[in-house]
Amino acid sequence: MIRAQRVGKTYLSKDGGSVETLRDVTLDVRDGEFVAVVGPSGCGKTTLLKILTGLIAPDTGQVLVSGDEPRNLQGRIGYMAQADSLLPWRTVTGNVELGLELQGVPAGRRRAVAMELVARMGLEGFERSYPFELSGGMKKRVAIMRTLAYSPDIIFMDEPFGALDVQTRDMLEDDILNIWDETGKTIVFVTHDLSEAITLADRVLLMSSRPSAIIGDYPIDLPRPRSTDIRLDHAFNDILREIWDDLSREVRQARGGPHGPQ
Amino acid sequence: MGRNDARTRVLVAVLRLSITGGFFLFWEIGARTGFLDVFFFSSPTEIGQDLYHLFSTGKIFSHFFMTMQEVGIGLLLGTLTGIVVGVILGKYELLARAMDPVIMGLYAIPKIAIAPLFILWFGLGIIGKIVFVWVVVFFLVFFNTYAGMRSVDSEMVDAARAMGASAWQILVKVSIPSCLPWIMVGLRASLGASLIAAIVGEFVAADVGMGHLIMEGLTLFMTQRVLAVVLLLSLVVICMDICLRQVEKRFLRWKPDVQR
Repeated sequence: MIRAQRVGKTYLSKDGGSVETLRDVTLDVRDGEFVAVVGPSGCGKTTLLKILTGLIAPDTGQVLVSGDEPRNLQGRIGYMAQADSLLPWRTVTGNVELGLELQGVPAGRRRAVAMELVARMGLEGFERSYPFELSGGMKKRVAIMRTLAYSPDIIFMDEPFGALDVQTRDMLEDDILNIWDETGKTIVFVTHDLSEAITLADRVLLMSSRPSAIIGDYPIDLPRPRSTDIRLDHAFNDILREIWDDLSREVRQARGGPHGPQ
Repeated sequence: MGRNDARTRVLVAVLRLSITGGFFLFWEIGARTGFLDVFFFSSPTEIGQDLYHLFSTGKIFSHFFMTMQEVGIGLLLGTLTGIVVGVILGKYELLARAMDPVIMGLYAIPKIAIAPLFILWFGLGIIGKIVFVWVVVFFLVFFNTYAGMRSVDSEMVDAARAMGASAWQILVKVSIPSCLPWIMVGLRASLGASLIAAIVGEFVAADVGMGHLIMEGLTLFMTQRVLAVVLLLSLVVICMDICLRQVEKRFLRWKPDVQR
């Protein structure tokens, strides 16, 4: 259970001014729920995620994850950033084992977990490869494996597939859908891609442009288990059209375009 | 590339050999025909003879090992302290900002200019040279390590923190390994610099060491002696560089630009 109440965050910019990024963000995520947060680029999506994971502290408001402060939960939550953030000096298995190693799990058990994940994610033969030897999609898979390895209950993902080509994205989104079906983890997935959000999530939260708040909460009533083929479904398009109008208004506002405030 | 690769490599080897060989050949011819004054420029054969003399009489060894000791110990101390201070100041930004004037002030001093002071402070023996090499190497390694610490990828640190890493674990498992390429750059620059420092220290005052041998050759007007020692010193730097390359291959295998 994740509960954020009236969370606010203001950054000081270099020229001495201040930028209010988040204002009164309130959200609830149930255990085992897959929630996507969508908003225009430059809204406080990443900031919100870092607050939920306890990496930065909010200025106002309160966040409780499983009834505790997020920073006390590090090691029990997963966090996947935009960049793959693999350690380049570690091999595939070395990276996958990192979380367990930090928690003092003995080498033999770490290796077993890593090998099982390597097999499950189809990376056999690359166990001893370094990140620079892998394709973008494979690196993402390793990052997913690294997160799964220490079995956190909640996984936070920050536009993890933003920089990939469409085919690779579809493949990885299917991976995520499978993992969610198999493990029932709580996932909070941040993206600017509405169609990705609808494909993956049970619920889509829409964020406004800065100062950002949650301005829409849309349940996604699409059947499970899903795959990325759900995009071809009529129901998918109806939902997409409904949320799209609200999102594009926010995007225009974020850009200060013809229909936004001057 | 591909099929041409082997042929290109052979061509490069042949060209290298003929350029180096040609250089010595023309030097020798110039010396023998009187085009080059042997008094000032010596000749490859004279240098070869002197090298043979230095080794066959065993005269070279005490000088060589003295300089190598100064370089080796100075390099070791400079590298270790440079890494430690670089990591500490890289980790504690406030401390780094407080120390900045002192460090920049010391860094701005041309080290060679104060070599005589080190002899004054630490005596004519080996200690003065070791400390001098140490100081020179320290700054090279320290600055690179510090720059490495400042450029650690914050996404990597965040990822490790979310996984429950303690501050110490982040330092040991994320920050320091990601500094390694930077430390290597500092170390590479230090190889040549450490030898320069040792030789300059010996120029100032010494009765043993390669720098002393050069000064002795100069006072005896033995150009071949000076050049023989210089040749040995460049061989030393080349050997150290090859060793460092092996170390890099071992520790920086994960870098795409390090050849296997």
